[in-house]
This record gives sequence, C-alpha cells and structure tokens, in this order.
Amino acid sequence: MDVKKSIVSLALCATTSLMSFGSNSKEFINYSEKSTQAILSSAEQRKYSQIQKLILEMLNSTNLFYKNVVLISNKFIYNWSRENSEEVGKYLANLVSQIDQTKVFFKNLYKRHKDFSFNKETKQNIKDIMALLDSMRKQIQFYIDLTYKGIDAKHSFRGLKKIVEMERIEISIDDYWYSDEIDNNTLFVSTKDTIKEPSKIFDIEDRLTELLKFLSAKKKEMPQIEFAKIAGFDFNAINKQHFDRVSLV
Amino acid sequence: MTEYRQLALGLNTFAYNLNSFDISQLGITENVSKRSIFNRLYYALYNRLIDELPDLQVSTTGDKHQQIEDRLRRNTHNDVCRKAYNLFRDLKTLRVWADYKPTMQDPSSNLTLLLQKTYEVINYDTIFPER
Repeated sequence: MDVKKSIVSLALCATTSLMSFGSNSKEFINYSEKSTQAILSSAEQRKYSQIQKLILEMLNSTNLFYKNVVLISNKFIYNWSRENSEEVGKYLANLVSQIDQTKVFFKNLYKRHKDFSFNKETKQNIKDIMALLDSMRKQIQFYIDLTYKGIDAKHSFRGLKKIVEMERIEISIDDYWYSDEIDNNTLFVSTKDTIKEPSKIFDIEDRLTELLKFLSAKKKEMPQIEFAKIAGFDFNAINKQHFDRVSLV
Repeated sequence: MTEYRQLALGLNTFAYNLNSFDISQLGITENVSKRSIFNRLYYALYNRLIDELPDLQVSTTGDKHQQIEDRLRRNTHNDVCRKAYNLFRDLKTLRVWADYKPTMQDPSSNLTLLLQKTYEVINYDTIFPER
C-alpha cells in the first residue's frame, strides 16, 4: 500500500529522464487509486482511525511526488516536449485525469467529515491534499500547453522546410527552436547557409513568415480528425496555432 | 558618436570577435561562448535603442527593457522600427535562455547571421520615427 519509498527512490535516481517521469507518474497514479479505494473500504468498515492514517499518508506521498517529480520536471519539460511530445503528452494527460478524479474524491470526503468524525488535523490534511492537487494541476497544465506548442513547432517546421525546398527559396533551413514561454509566438529557424547582404536576411524572414501564415491557414481549413483522446487531450492535434512569425537565427 | 552608440558597437564587436575566436584558448565551452554572444548582442541593441530615448536614459522608474519594447511596438508601422522590434524581442528570448536556462536545449543558430542582423540594425541612422 505504501509506495512513498518507491516514489522517493525513483525520483532521486533519475528525475532528469522522461522514462523516470513516466514510471514515477504511473506509480503515483496507481498509488492514488489504491489509496482512495482503501479509504472507501475503511469507511465501509467504519475503521475511522485507519482512514485518518491513510489520509496523512496520501498527503505525504502527494507532497513528495509534487516536489520530487512534478516541480523538478520543470527543468526538463522543454527538452521532452521538443523531442518526445506525443509520449510526454500521454503521461501528462493520464496524470491530469487522475488528479481531477482524486480531487473530486477528497472534496466529497471532506463534505462527509462529520459522518467520519474526523479530527481537526485530518480535516486540515484533506484541505492540504486538495491545495496540493490544485498546484500540481496548474503546473501540469503549463507542461501540457508547452507540449502542444512543441507539436505545433515540429509540424510547422516540417511544413516550412518542404515549401522552402519546393519554392527554391535562396536558403535551406535545417533546424528549429522556440521559447518555453507559451505566449512567445516566434518560431526560430536556423540555416547553415551564408547570406552576404544583411538586409536580405530580413526579407527572407518576411517571406518565411508569409509561408508560415499560409501553412496555418491551410491547417485551419483541414477537416478536424478525431484522434484517440486521453482525459480530453489530443496530442496528435493539428489545429493548434502558436506561431505567427519566423526568425532566422 | 554618443557613448551609447559606442557601447553598442563595442559590445557587437566583442560578440563578433568571440564568435571568430578559437574558444579552446579561453578555456570555455561552445555553449558558454554562445550564451555570452547572445547576452552581448542583446545589450548592444539595448544601448543602441536607448540612445534615441533620452527620457529613458535618465529614468529611474519602471522596467526600461519593457519600456523600450513597448515604444518599438507602438511604431511597428515603420519598417525599420518593425525590424528592430522583432530583433529586440528575439535577442531578449535568447538572452533569457543564455542567462537563466542551463538545462534547456541549446537553440540551433547560425551566429554569423545573428551578428549580421544586429550589426545592420545598430548601424541604422535612425530607428524611431521622428515625433
């Protein structure tokens, strides 16, 4: 039942990898499911002291997961969302779904605190769990938004690269980059080519921006395909528009 | 030439020389060199822009960086201002990466191109349209 130790050890051994984020998230989801089931079953058996113990354990585990996995991932989420957007997207969506369910569970449990004769400390623990879940939800929403941005950047760059090759624009584009600020709408595109006249660089940027806008308009015209969704999120989404300008760097 | 323009050109030259230099002699990595170039280019442009904004030169209130960006944005109908506005925002983004994001992936970039763009803009006679 108590997976606190395994969460800690996994988080400490490799919080820098997407694989460890995925396995820690799965462990937390399993833990939350089992913990809420155990609370329900203890309630049916009127084991009130056991419920209070489980709630405290849930608070500690949620806190550990939030600090050692969710917050630490902030340092790496850009790289994951750029390189493995679909994979990280699925982990995040599953996590959000579990957080939402757990929040509802504790909200309902708090409403019934008189039935279970919870003491003051346990009532506060439930409130703390809900506050932690809210903070976690907010942080993960940012990760989800960045993941959508990463997917849009990848598709936009691929589209742009194809058009640049077809239209025989005087440069070739090799790679892309984007800011981790959601509302920064510039797609940075790099080229290995040299351009002798600096003023021409701005003209090429304008041309690439026009092509990006053309691509965005085409995306809007395309029929929206319903892919399999996880918790309402579709990480194959093609209808998200994050970029309206290209910068050649 | 004003001190602000001199500083802008000096910082741009520093960035150019760092990019041309054999950095192994300086004992720094390519990543650190790139971060330093982004940082210096941003401040080269910052100083060039503030040269035309005497009220901001002496101002002690507010975020000057944001105020410069706001003034550029209000003038993007002017082509020169639009180019300066875009470059200022791009260099700001790259500088934030350079100074505050050690774990975030390296922005793929052609530094020569970025140096050319900055050199072009800081050498415009006038950036802000006359008021």
